[in-house]
Amino acid sequence: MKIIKSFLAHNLNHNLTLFERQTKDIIFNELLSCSFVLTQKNQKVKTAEKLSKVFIRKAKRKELSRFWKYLKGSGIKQLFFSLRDAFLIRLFNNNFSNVLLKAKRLMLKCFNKNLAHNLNHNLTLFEKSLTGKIVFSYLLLLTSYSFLFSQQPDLFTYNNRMKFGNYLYETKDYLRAVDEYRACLRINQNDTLQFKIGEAFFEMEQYNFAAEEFYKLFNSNEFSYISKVSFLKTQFAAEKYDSLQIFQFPDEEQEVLNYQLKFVNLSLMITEENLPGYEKYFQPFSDREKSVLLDFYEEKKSLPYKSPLKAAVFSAIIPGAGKIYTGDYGDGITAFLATGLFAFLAYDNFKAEHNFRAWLFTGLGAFFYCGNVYGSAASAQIHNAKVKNEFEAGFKLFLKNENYFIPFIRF
Amino acid sequence: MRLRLIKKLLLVTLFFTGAGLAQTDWQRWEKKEVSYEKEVLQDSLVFDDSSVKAFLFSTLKNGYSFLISNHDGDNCPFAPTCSYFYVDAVKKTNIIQGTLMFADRFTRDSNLFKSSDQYIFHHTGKLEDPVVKYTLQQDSVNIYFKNHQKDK
Amino acid sequence: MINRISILIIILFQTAVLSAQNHLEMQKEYAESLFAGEKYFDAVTEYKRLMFFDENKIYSAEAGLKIAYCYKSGGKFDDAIAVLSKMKENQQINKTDIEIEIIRLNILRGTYFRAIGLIEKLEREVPEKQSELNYWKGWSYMVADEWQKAADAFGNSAEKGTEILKNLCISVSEEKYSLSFARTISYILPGAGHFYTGYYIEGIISLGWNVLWGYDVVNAIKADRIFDAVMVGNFLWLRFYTGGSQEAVKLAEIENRKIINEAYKYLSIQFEGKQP
Repeated sequence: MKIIKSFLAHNLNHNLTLFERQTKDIIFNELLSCSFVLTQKNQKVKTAEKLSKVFIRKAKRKELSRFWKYLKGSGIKQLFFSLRDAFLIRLFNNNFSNVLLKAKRLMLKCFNKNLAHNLNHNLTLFEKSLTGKIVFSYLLLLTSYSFLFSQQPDLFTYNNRMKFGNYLYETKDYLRAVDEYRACLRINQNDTLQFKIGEAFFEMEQYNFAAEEFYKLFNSNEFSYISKVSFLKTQFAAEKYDSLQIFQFPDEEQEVLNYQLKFVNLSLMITEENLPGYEKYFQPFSDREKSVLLDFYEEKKSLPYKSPLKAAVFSAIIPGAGKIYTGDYGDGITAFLATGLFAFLAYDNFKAEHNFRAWLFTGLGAFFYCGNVYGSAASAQIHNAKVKNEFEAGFKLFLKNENYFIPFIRF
Repeated sequence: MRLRLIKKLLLVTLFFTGAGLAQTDWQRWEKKEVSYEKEVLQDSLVFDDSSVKAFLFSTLKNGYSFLISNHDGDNCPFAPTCSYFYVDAVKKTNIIQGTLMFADRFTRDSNLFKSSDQYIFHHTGKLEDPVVKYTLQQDSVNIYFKNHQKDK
Repeated sequence: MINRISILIIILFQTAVLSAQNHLEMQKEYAESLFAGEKYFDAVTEYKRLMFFDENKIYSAEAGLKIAYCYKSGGKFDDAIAVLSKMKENQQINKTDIEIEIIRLNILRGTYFRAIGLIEKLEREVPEKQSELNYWKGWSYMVADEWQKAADAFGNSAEKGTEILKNLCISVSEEKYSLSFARTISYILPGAGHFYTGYYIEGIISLGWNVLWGYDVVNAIKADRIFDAVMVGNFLWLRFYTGGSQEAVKLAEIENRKIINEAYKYLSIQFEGKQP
């Protein structure tokens, strides 16, 4: 306690101006009462507040009122903002030493004693030289102006938005990532971000938007080739197979034209029942691509379709046979039994000369018979649709996993 | 077959890529009011089409349900019910084709060994069997199965 | 000279650190303003931004909770539960509070059996929360359409509003039609189940059919046409007899659905106590 008292007394006496001498005793007493809290870091705020109360009581309103008003704030950060304003006022009033002393005193409270001691010794000499004043004021101005302009959060700068956008993209939060990238693009054109927007829309299966975004990069330096190829991939995924051939790419862009041909051939796997010959079909593909596509090519050529006409004819000859042909065993047997039962009942009743009942059963038998023939044809169509759909779904899933033979890009 | 195994593996890996959480946010959503109410069970047939034919058919069908089919038990494992199916079939095609479709439906209904491979489950728990599958138009049938592939 | 410059640099650095702290605070306020304004999708974005830039993880617990609340308000209960489950390991939050919040989300989502399971597990771990857990148990049973059990659970809870809820559960439980009773009296007298639920015309029609086929069967037996009697009895009379009972149960279910939906409407619109 006594050591602190003497230390503070020595410093104060050494550098006081007229103002401080007048208020010296009050300040000294205040500092003393606050000295206990100096050692505890989390009490800095209380110290500053107590100091500010004293200064406000003693403030020369004209010069210091604005400065001390800020000191009423709740934290050390407020003190520094206040310091900024104070420095600006002092510069105009040329009362530099006064402010520097106050800054020194505040810093004594906030930082360690060694630092404050150094500051104390060096600043006295520095203050007195004119060049020192100019350099110091310039640096302080710099700090203060940086505070002024950084009042808006810097989380929304170009770089920060891009960083955040990249994080969102990696965590598959694509819609938000697109918003961030678009905000960045409003400030600065960036082809990588533009491409990533396209990819994000593609992942979300919003193919129209994805195509629009890829189209914007057609004339880019770096992304021209990949954007054109990605555009084609989008058209394929959106099932716009006709439009794959509409776009005319220049003859010099051989790789893009090759990709276009690849996509057209891939679309044939979905749209055409009969594929072209092996050589013609696999001509644009590389050997690795050929090897993985070969299974699908061969499966497509030998898909187990059933003919509706055959199914109907089989059922006409033997009720239920058509459904067994298409794989509906339970339905086929039921149809056979139902038709057979009513035929038998009709025959039996005709024999027993119960004509009304006989005709009734004949009618019901005919009803089931015709239904079974129709149903067999429908059943063949259903079987074909299931087979086609399963093949297509598997093929599309496979292509999606291969990224449609486009090299994956690492950002 | 090797190809089928690859397809199944691909489906499984896609399922587990953890994209589930983010997918909610692929479309903007707004505040939703809390409601604990359960779905109301509804029964009668209402056609969008307001023509005389549609009105006549729906009245006949509703009359049949009210007087007869509501009282003979819940025997139809399909959704929509056989009477609804018949009226819808006649509406979409013509009376002869509709009647043939109904006959086929009746036969399939009588089949005690229906499997879930043949039919997709309806949200009410019954087997889905709409008219569109039996209109003998291959394109419509293809589209039906493609849409249900997305639901799977 | 170098000392002075270095001191200045240290001062600038310190102030820069403090100003960054200020930016996170401002971001938090911005996110909170969006949350208060019910712009939940954007609020989630801003909270995610706050969490991303918060290197010291000062705001991560609070932001995570707020994100879960946003998803809850938007009806995205699966996502809210996923977020909360990830936060269970966070030391800054009370684990029990998170568990209770997950129970509430399960109730809202309709997975009430899961909610009840979690409640029972938590009852063993944190017995001092018995009253609150019974409250949520009551809600789980209400949403699960088990009103008597809900009334019992509310009886063991001392939270605000339990009296009102208990009375509501008891009144709904009494008002609801008993499905087993409807089925039984329909077997005794066809059509009686329909009368029980207030569908008089349908009851008369059902009774009519049974009388018709019964009369036909009796006549066939009297005329010694046993085969006909068996055919009519099996394919018509039995069908309408069991069908009548099924229909009575179905109508009772429809009426019960109307009653409970009234109660649910009251809960979501008028009830002022704690909701899940």
